[in-house]
This record gives sequence, structure tokens and C-alpha cells, in this order.
Amino acid sequence: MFSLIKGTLSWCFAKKVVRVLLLGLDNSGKTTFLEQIKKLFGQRSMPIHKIPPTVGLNIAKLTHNNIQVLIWDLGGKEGIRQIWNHYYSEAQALIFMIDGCDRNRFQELNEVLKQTLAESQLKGVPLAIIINKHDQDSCASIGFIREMFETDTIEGRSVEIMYGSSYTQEGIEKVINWILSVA
Amino acid sequence: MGMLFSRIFSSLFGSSEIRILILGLDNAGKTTLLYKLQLNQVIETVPTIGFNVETVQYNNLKLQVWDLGGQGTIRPYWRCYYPNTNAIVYVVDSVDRDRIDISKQEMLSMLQEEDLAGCPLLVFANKQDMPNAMKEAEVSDRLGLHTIRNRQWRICAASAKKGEGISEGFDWLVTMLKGTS
Repeated sequence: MFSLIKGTLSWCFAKKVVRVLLLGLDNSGKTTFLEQIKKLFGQRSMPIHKIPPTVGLNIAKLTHNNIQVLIWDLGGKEGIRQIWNHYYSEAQALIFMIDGCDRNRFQELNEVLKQTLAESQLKGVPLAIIINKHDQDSCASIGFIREMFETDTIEGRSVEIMYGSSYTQEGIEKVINWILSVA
Repeated sequence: MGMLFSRIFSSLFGSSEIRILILGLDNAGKTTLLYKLQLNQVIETVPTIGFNVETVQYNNLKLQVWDLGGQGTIRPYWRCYYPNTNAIVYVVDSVDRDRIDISKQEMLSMLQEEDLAGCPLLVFANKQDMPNAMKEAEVSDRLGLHTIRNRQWRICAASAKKGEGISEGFDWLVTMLKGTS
């Protein structure tokens, strides 16, 4: 009954729905970042130092400026990445999370990113790259990431690169605004 | 919003226990899982006709865990237990390739029930101690977990017999249910 009322209410007040995929390697901080977003929107969220690796799906549902934002955070571990492609066809925006401090995995990351962007179902879907863990000194800069991943050569979609940190909450507002702008 | 109200109501009037259902086909290892969780022992089980229910203290949280019989003839009664459930644990026999499709159908039809809307789902790919068990990725694929859009889910490779993977799964479930608001 409650969910019925809830469903009716949200149907009345939020007309537009944006589905966003949050992808990236394991341990890049996707879930932590998402939980911080939920917290900011006054929703139930997991305490950030207790978040286990995601092996499946984590969801955030937010309503902002009459737009309903649905974020799907998918597990980034190698074995579970194959579930990603089942979500591609519905995505209207793509966020790729990078652990800015984990330089040892940039090569792997580059391959995964290129592979993902080559998916035909994701053609034209706007991309935001979040360089996460910017609160740490060793975090890579936007310039470095841009060069490393040759983001200027990405064609056929808009690309935005920004810093993020779950601890200082840097980037959260920016990414929400970005989602709304591409919606 | 409705969820918020119902949460407030249940925190005011309901018991403080978190209600968890363990579901799955017969012989998946649900009862073994329940008692491994509660007693940390592997007990001799017989096929459950009806249910077992135990209160389990887990990370300072009181869980009321219902293990429902999984045989075909009594599966229709699962629905009697759906109201007020906080989370679903679904157990799969990772060796039983012949019946994984049935398990998938039972799971997906269970997830369509309105009483279980939004409940997080924890899937155990059980019996990983057996030599030819399917890995978690294969179980996830064959169950069609990727078709789920409206609830949080997680899959865990587990062996209820050896106690492996159980705490990994329940840690996730409990962290999520406990979440600060």
C-alpha cells in the first residue's frame, strides 16, 4: 500500500527518468561515492568505512528538479564485470570511476575503459570520468588522466573529467549537475 | 517516502528484529546454512516440510531468520511469509545444473511479489566445496540476476558445510540493513 502511494507520488511529481551507469574497476570507490550521494539526499546509506566490495548491484534513486535519477552501481571485480553489458542498453549517462592513486592499474583501466566505450549499445552516451580519492596527495591530475587515457580522442559523445572524493564530498554536486545537464 | 513511513511505523510498533527469509529449491542447503549461521555447526538435516525459524545475533543486530521448505509442493506457501520481510536470502545448489532453470523461475516470480518490493537480495551460490560446482559468475548469469533493476543484490560463492562465504554475504546484508539514515 505504501509503495503504491509512493509510486503514485513519484509518478506525479517526477516525469523524467535518467538512468545512469556507474562503472569502474574494483576498489575505485564507486559504492562509497554513491552512498555519500544517498546520504546527501537524506536517504539511508551504508557507513562509508564499512562498505564491502560490490558483487552485484547497488542502486540510488534520487529526485532532483523534477527529474528522477536512477544510478546503477555495478560490481567492478573481473569475474562480475560481465553483468555490465546487460545494463548498457538502458543507460542514458555513463560515469566511469577511476582510483586516481592506483597507478599500477592504469593499464588495466585503460583497456576496460576502451572496451566499454566501444560497446555499440553505449554509442553516444555521455561520459563523466571521476578521478576519485582526490583527497590523497598521490592522486593523478586531470591533465595526466586526459593524456594517459587519450580522452581527447573519444568521439561521438561528450566527455567530462572531474575530481571526486568520498571523504571531502568533492565532486558530488558536480556530478549530479552533470547528470541533470545531460538528462 | 512510503518506505520511510513504514520504516518509522515498524520502528515504533514492530519488533526491533530484522526479518530475513531464506528461500531456494529443496536440497539447496538452506537449513544447513541457517544452523551454520546460528550454531556455527553443521547439523544433520532432513528435508524441511514447513519452516525453521531462529533468532540470530549478528554484528549487534537481531535477525529473525526464516528457513522455508523448498520442495515443489510447498513452494506456493512461501508467499504467506512475504509480508514485513526486510531481506531475502536465496540459496542455490551450484552443482544442480539440471534444476537451475527452475530455480531461476522460482526466484524471478518470487521477486515480482509486491510484498517483497525493494527488499535486498543476497544469493548464495552454495556447495562450492563440491568439485564440479558452478562459479558465482555462472550462477549469476544462469539465474538472470542481471535482469534485476529495482533492488540491490549480491551474489556470494559459499559452502554452508564448510562455513565459507556466509559471513561475507551476511556482512553485506547487515551493513545495508543497518545503514544510517
